[in-house]
Amino acid sequence: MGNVISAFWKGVKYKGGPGHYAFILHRLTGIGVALFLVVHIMDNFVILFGEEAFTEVLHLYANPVMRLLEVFLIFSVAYHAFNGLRVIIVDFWAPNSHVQRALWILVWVVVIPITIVAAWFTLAPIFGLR
Amino acid sequence: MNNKDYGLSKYKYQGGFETWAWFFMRISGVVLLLIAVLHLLLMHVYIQVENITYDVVANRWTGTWGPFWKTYDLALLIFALTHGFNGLRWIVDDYIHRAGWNVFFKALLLVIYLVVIAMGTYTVFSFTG
Repeated sequence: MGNVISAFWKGVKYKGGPGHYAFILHRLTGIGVALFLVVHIMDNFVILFGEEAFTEVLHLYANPVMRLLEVFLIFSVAYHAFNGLRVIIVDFWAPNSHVQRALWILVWVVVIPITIVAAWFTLAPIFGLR
Repeated sequence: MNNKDYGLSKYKYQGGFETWAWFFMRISGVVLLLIAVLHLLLMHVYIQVENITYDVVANRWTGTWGPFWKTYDLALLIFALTHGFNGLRWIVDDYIHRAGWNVFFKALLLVIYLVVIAMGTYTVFSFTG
């Protein structure tokens, strides 16, 4: 366990600037989405038990805490997707540091609006808006 | 500094499982950027989660476009789960160095991966409405 913590801590302490933060957030969002995937495939499986059972499962996603997690899920997928694209571009084309910095900013220019739109569509009904 | 001094150009592709796993992450990543993001836009923005009912899912899978949506969902299942679990496998390799535990967690991931992919595939193929 000590080894695991020290290996993990080494990864956190490394001062790698934006690329390092990008990496940490890529891992965290990846783990989050993967965990949701497992839950999501199980909730879909319940459809085989009929309409009543499936409706009950769908209701679990309706409460405000789950709606908040839904926004977090959409953010995670959007970040992971567009940061992943940035990683691919850097891997294959090795652009210079100015382009790399621009790409990192571009990730957020895309991800923030997606998150805001998702938050509006997801959370507005809870507050009786929309 | 010449572009050739960094990036991938200085590496020789050696093949083997890990190289393919690395390539698979890039290829499935681009595929998922299209199909997973479209899936999210469709379910969370266009339909919206509070409007998803048994009928919505049943009609989609059994309607005229049923075979298309079943193929789409199956592609989503296989690409997303394989991408996700390969990512988790890399995380295990990065932080869990002791041989026994490393193999234990990777075996656990493989078992969960196979069970979940079987459940998902069975759901898509056996659903008749």
